[in-house]
Amino acid sequence: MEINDLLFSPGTYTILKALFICLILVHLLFSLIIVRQTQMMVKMVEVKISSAVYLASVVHLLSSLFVLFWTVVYF
Amino acid sequence: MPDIFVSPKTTPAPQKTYPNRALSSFLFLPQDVHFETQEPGETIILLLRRHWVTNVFWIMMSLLFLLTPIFLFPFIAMGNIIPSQLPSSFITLLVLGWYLLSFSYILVKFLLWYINIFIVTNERIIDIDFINLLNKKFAATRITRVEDVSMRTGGFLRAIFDYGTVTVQTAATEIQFELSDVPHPDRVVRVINQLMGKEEQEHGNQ
Repeated sequence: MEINDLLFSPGTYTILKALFICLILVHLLFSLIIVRQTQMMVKMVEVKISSAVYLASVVHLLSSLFVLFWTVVYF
Repeated sequence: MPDIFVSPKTTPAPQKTYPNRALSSFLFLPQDVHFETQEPGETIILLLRRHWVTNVFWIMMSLLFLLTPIFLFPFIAMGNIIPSQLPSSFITLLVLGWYLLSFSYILVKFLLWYINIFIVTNERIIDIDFINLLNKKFAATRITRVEDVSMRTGGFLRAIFDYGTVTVQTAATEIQFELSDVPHPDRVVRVINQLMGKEEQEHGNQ
């Protein structure tokens, strides 16, 4: 059996997909922590660009959600 | 008859100004900045962050991360490093994952710089430290409790870009504030000393 056949057999593919989803879920949790901390910081010190910084953290969370969605649907 | 003894018009010495941009690491009398525990009548005199030079390393790394796939993938494709049977979805996920992690790296590094701040008001000194995104340290002391302010600078970059460490020592049993890599440390020390003098005067008059 060739290495490529082993790597891309349906079983391996399912394991890989599960592994990637787990990793992205960990990243999603991390993104949530970033949003929460930024929210707290924005509340603590109000600066002109605070909302932009908060928005960046939300975009980061949405990117993580997008990659999770893409992996579940298309991978 | 011409005037002989005309007092020369005195022009005030030009004062060094510091731009109050939102992303500046040295904000003097910032206008649109407020903090949660700000007391009525309390004015922010200084808002400090680490000097922008300290960000150069991670900015370079970020650029490297962002550009790596653009330069690396053609080489991998040309050299047939990726097996031909590898599904395109696998490559897409690799690229997406790479950029997601790069985005995380940039955001975390920026936030750790942006949210680590040191505020000097006319009443207090406040230090907000995020060791990492999960560990936060908030410390504040009254100007009246400050006993000594000192600065330390040294090294090639610090000398060129004028930044260093300012240490604020409060009463013996209390905390010591250390502001690492802040711009214009001499000016920070001077401002805190002036505030201490003013507070002493006010307390002396009472």
